[in-house]
Amino acid sequence: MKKRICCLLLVFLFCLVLCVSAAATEQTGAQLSYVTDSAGLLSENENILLEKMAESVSKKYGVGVYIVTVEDYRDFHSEGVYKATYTIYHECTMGEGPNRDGIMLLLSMDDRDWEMFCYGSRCEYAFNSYGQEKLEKVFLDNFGENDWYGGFEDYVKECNVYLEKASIGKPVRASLFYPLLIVIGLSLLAAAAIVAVVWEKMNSVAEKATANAYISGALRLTEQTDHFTHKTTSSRKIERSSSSGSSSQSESGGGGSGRSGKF
Amino acid sequence: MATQVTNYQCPACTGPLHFVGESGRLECDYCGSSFDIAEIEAFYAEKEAKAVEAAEAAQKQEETEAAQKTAEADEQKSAADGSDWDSSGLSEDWGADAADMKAYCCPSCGAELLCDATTAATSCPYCGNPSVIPGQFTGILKPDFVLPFKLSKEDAIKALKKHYLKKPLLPSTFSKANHLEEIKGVYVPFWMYDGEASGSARFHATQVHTYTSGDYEITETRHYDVSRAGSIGFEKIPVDASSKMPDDYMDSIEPYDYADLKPFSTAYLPGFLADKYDVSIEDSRERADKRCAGSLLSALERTVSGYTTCNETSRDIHLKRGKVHYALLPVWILNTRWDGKDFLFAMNGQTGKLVGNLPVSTKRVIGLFAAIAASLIAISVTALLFLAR
Repeated sequence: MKKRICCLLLVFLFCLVLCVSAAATEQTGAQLSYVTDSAGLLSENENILLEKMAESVSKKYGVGVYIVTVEDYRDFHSEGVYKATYTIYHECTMGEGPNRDGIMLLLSMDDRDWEMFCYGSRCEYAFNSYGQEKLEKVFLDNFGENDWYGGFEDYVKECNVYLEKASIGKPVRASLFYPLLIVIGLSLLAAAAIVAVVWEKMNSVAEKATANAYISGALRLTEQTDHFTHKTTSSRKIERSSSSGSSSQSESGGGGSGRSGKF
Repeated sequence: MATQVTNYQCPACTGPLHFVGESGRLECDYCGSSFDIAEIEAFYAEKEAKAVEAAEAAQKQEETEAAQKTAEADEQKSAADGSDWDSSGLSEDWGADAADMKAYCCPSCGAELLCDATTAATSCPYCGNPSVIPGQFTGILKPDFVLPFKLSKEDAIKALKKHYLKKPLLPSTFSKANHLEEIKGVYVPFWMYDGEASGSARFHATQVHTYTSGDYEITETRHYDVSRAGSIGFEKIPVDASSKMPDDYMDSIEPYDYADLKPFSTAYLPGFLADKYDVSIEDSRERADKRCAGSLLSALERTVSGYTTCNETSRDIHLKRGKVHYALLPVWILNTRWDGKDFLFAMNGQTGKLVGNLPVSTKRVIGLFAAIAASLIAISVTALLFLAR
């Protein structure tokens, strides 16, 4: 009952914000705190600790680190958890600084959906698609075991690490060694193939194996049989990217990017 | 040993005539006259008849004069002091070469022409007049057809220059520093085989269908035993009958358009070289057979459609041999020399198709490879870094 009331309050607040933002000529900052636990997953103490931690990271690096939990994301947007998170982020004018940089982790408890939404150039520099994919591995384990505080704490701490690295110009990026090796190898092979084709053009002399230019009339076909003999079947397991038993996918649009899935 | 040679001379000024492909007529460089092939053939038939009569009369006179000369020579010998030039070391025996050589007398300047036994048309190295040896084309050796030259020497040179273009691996000095040693228009003897190939072939064909089922990608391959039988006719498959001409070059300048084939006449030969055949019908037949079988097989294989793969497993092909024709086909032969090596090019004298293997510059191979590889690496690495941002 308490959870339902919290959620209704959030929806009410959200509607209020919609009205205010429509009327306001300027947006003046985030309408929600760093941690908004509408689904009631955290104790009051945990909520305060996380709020302090997130606020500290957000103020230090100028990129808002947000946690939102709801009962059902469809209360905010029916077209999916990404759209719902996007709507909450923008309608509540979340984010730090003039560009409203921020990262928001949303849990929707009805169907155990999660969404991590990243907005603003500074934020997307710190959390690119590889970084986001790596970041989700930190908290999904905890959420899979209903360890909400542990998951959120890991999320905020890891955000701190990512933002710190980004602030010194060394953001978290995938290792390019093997992709580079493959790309160089393929380029060399392609170059060799092109040179071989050009080389082949230097030789225009060859004995002919057919006399197609001197055929009189058409082929007179006297027999034409096609007998099916047997069938062979082979199967290959399709490799899908997965983490901690949950499937996730990248999404982007509307000036942000994110990853979502189930926990 | 000297045999009869004909110089086609202009009936107007007696200058040498030569066949011009563009006009299809015999033209005189001296007075500019030009003549139809039929006109010249009639003129020379009449001239030939008169020459035979004159030759008989001359032979009688020669016999009388020879008897007189022998008597005079005996008298001179007895008067000499006995110190004559010693020519005992000179040999009249040509050995094995004698079988491959023939001597002719140029009717224009009287010089002796030493030619291969197969030479049928040439030019005199002394006066430059085109000379035809009609004796090479008499009796059973007479060709059925001749395909007159349509393209000139200038066309051949242009085609060679064009052949050098768009060849990034060609050494830069090749087109500039190589010397065109020789360009000759040759009527090459060809056997032309009519026939039919019939038979059957079996193929192993597969249809591959891929679909997904749950977490698995399933590849289903259906195997078929495909059999096809049929026959196909061939008309005038050309196989060069001259051992001097490389077979691969002659194959490569095909095809010829037989719409322009003419009944053979030596009047098409002046101005060009011509050889009679020296590879027999039987020796050339194998190449024609191989090509007939290859064509039937590829025609049968083309009827096997709707499969992902198709591989031949067996074949049984029979050839029904038909008529053989003998024809002279026009070929421009170009010899160049570069860096101490000879390079041969051949051009179809009717269609202009030119073939010939070109040298490859190692430096250019490395340069081209490096340029392509560097460009591809630069593009792909930039794309990779952009995606990884």
